[in-house]
Amino acid sequence: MPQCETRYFGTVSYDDQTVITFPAGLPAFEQYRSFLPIEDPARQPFIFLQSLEDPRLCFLTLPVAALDPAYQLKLSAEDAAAIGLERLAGAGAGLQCLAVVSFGQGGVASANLLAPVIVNAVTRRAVQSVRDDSVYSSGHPLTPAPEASPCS
Amino acid sequence: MLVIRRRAGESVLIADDVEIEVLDISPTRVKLGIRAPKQVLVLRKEVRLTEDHNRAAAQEIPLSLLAPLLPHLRLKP
Repeated sequence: MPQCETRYFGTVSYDDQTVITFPAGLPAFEQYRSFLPIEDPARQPFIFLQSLEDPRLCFLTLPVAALDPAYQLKLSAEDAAAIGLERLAGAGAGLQCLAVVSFGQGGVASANLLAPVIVNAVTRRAVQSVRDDSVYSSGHPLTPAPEASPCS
Repeated sequence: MLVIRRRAGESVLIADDVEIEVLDISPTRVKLGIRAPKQVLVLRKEVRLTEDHNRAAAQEIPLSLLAPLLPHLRLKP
C-alpha cells in the first residue's frame, strides 16, 4: 500500500483507488492534481483533502448536505465533461459534493458554496465548479449569526 | 464607480486595447463580449472569490476549532 505524508495525520497508508484527481487543479492551486480524502471518525462529517504532491497542502471540506440539505447543484457542461460525466440527468447519485472550509480572522469558519468540489465517484475525477449565478456565497458561515440584540 | 448606460450592440472602451460590448440583454442577464490582448486576464469575479477563499483555506487549521462546529452540522442520514 502506498504511503504519504500528511499535514495533520502524520504518515498514512492509502488505497490508490481512493485518490481523487483534479484534471485542472483548484482555483489558485492549479498545479496540484492528486488529493487523498481523509475522514477522521472523531471529526465527521469533515473530510480532509490531502495533496499527494505537497504534504503541507490540505483542504478541509464538508459535504454540502451537512450545511444545506436543500442545496441545488448546478454544473456546467464543461465541468461535467472534465470529470467524465456523460450526462447530467440522473447523475446525482454518483457525485460527491463538498464545500471547502476556511477560517478567517478570529477563527470564524466559512464554507464556499459558490464553488463546490464535485467528485465523480466512478472516475474519481473532480472539479471545483465555480457557479455562474449568485444564489450561494463563497463565505457561507458554519455557525448561525449571533442573535441580533433587542432594541433598547 | 463610473456608471454608463448602454444598449445591446453598444460598447465601452477601457484604456487603449480593451473593448467590452453588450451583445444581448435579457430580463435577468446581460451577455458581454470582451476584446482584449491575450496578456489581459479576464475572470468572472466568482473565480477570484474562490481563489481567495482557497488561499485562506490552505492555511494551517488548529484542529481544536472543529469540535465546537460539529453540533451545527447535519450528519449524513
